[in-house]
Amino acid sequence: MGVLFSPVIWAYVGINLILTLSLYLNFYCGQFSLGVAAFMGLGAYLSAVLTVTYGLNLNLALLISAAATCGVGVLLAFPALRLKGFYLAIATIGLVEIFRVMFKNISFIGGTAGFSGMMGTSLPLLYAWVILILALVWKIENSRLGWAMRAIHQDETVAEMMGLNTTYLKVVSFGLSAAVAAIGGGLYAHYMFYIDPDAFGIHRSLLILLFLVFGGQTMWGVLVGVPILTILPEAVPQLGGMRMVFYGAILILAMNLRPQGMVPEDFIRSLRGKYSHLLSARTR
Amino acid sequence: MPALDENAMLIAEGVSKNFGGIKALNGVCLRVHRGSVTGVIGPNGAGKTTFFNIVSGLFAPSEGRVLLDGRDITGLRAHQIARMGVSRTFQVIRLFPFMTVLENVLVGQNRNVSHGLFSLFHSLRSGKEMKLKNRAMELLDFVGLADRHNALAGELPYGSQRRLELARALAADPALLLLDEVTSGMTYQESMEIAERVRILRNKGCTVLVIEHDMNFIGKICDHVTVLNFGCKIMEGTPLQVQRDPEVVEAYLGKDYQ
Amino acid sequence: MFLQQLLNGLLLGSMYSLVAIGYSLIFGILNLLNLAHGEVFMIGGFVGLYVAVNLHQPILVSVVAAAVGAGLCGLVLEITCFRYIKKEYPMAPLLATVGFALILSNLASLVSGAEPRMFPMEIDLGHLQVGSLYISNLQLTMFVFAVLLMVVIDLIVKKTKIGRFMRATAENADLSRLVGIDIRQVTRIILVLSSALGGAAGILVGMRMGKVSPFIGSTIGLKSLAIMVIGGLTDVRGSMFTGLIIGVIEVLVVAYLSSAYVDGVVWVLLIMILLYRPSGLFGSPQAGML
Repeated sequence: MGVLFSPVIWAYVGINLILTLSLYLNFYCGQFSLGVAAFMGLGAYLSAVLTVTYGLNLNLALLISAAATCGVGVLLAFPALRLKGFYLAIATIGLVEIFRVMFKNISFIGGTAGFSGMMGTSLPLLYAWVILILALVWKIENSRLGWAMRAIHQDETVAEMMGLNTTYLKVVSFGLSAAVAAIGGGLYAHYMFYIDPDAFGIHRSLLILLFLVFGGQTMWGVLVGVPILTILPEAVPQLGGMRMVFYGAILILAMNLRPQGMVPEDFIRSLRGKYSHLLSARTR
Repeated sequence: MPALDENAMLIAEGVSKNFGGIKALNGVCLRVHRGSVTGVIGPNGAGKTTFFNIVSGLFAPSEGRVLLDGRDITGLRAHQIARMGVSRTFQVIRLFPFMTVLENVLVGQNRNVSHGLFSLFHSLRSGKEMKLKNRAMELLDFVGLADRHNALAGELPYGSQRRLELARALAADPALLLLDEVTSGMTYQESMEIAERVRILRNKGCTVLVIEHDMNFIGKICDHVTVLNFGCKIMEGTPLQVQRDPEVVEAYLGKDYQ
Repeated sequence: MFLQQLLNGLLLGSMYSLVAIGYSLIFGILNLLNLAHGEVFMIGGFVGLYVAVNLHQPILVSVVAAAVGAGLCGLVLEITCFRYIKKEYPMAPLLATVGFALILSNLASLVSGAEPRMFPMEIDLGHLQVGSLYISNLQLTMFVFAVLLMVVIDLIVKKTKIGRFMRATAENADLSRLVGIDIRQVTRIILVLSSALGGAAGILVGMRMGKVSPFIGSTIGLKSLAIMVIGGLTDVRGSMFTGLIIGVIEVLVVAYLSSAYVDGVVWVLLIMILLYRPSGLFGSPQAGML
């Protein structure tokens, strides 16, 4: 249990929280995009170059790379609008691979040899960003923007006919999610001291997807699922090399026994229902 | 070309719609007077819902124009038309199933309400939001669902879902309301309650278009009825005139039932 | 020279086709995505390697052993990832297969080491020389195998009873169930069959490349997934031909442009197809499985 006191593990938890929230923002709006690894990589490289080559302050570098990645996300959102469900998922898988190949071929950022030289970041700073992003996601859920996104998720055509500009809203969700992924990537880069293109491949996106689905595709689900899945493989060091096998087994078990995830939407609703007399009367 | 009619809330001029090889609508001309309740009837497949889809902006007509209160709305996107004051219900119920009854209505409020990035800077507890919430509750009260406002829309019984669809459509304070078979599946009692609601709306100045198969309902509230068959308008008049017209009877019942 | 490259491309492509056909079978008929398919392919390679090298069996026996081994994996896959998982959560079986893939690739790496396992001797079956063209017999075997496979599967699907069951299930699962088709049985057969095919492909590819690596599953697997989509998702023939086309394109890109971007080519094509012709190169325009 000593692993619970290792700061490295909690750094990973924090970074994974941010990345999973990025994916969550996409799924919230009904867009099953798996591009999180691509935007993470973009944010990682941009912020790393800004701090290492141009000597910028870390937070400033993070903000700039998030803004730039958001812009890229917005541009890519437009063709993405034409794709639905599985097609969007596989197209974004393609996007991740294309970005990875691009990263491998830009010598300025080291190509396959990777990029390093970043100074570290502290855990409190990392968690300051986690809390910031959590607050953003919470605010979105508790605003008309969030309602609109949920409506689009549940019935896009009808949402449009109720006066919601679905194009604009989906582009916003894509852009915000890209920006959040960039922050996650930037923090990742500065915690790891070294990044290379293979860190931002499909397996990264799939891992984040795993976190989100295991958690139950809700905000609380993310907060519960990410720490469990991040810490679990490390928690039993005796397993040694069998760690990942153990991990795979946990996943198979989880999908068989509780496919809706740890903290799914209806679970939260039933909890609210049971304790509604304790909460003040307000719309959910 | 017909001159601009100041009393016309909705004008359809030669509206046609092709789907591949099928002509769903063929040169339909319609004029709906402001503050009236107009019925659109016809056998299944006549093109009634297609017509509604064009007016509400789901897709554009292949030919022809649609004018709303004098403005050409042909080819505009659905959300733009909705914000111009057009609301509708659907033939097959399409609520947001995992949102509450109240949320379904709140989402429908699109007059001077932002659902975009700017809404991140507003609080859901502000005075304006409280007013909007009260308005929504009034609408739920109007359709008799106020006590179920926290229930999930997908869990309501059928008749309640239809009433919720009506409340949601009214949330935007529409000038033109399109009701697509809103009484389908309802008992006589329920239909008459809806008819009463429509009458109240009409008295408040709302223009209403209803697609219906229930002739009682049509008879009770419609000032004017248009009949479609095979994508064409075959007749229009008062409910009584229409019911007696031989061509209309033939369209519904076939040639042998004269 | 160009002709040689073309040939090389076809032969590379047949490797992709072999894997893509497996994906296509599963997705086309069951509407399920099996992300462990690449890993099953890899297991076939290892089983075949063991049989060929440690048990000193001839090539053909190795291929059969690979197919059997992979088929068994497919059965385990069916039990753990598809049999008991409720279909209302479409992402659950998908992610279970991701877990399965993790287990397979890491078990293989534990048993054999993370580095690729080389075939100790040159598997040289000789080669053909047609004019100035050079074709290795091994590559030819793979190509022929892929074509045979496609023909056989086509025949099975079109002419046999089980094939009819498969097509009925693909068309309308609920109706098929009502008519008495045991969907579970069909699922089992499809998964075992496509896994066996993947396994055979695995050993053939291993022999061609001279080595088997525990992590090859995801690299080849994902590209073949893209190929399936480009080809038209449900059409086995589509996967076959698209695999060949992609092979040719990749070889030509390496030969005449540069090798740096070759891995991205298939994905660029995928995105273009999705945007401009979503039914795929060979799919019918109304094919909307989703």
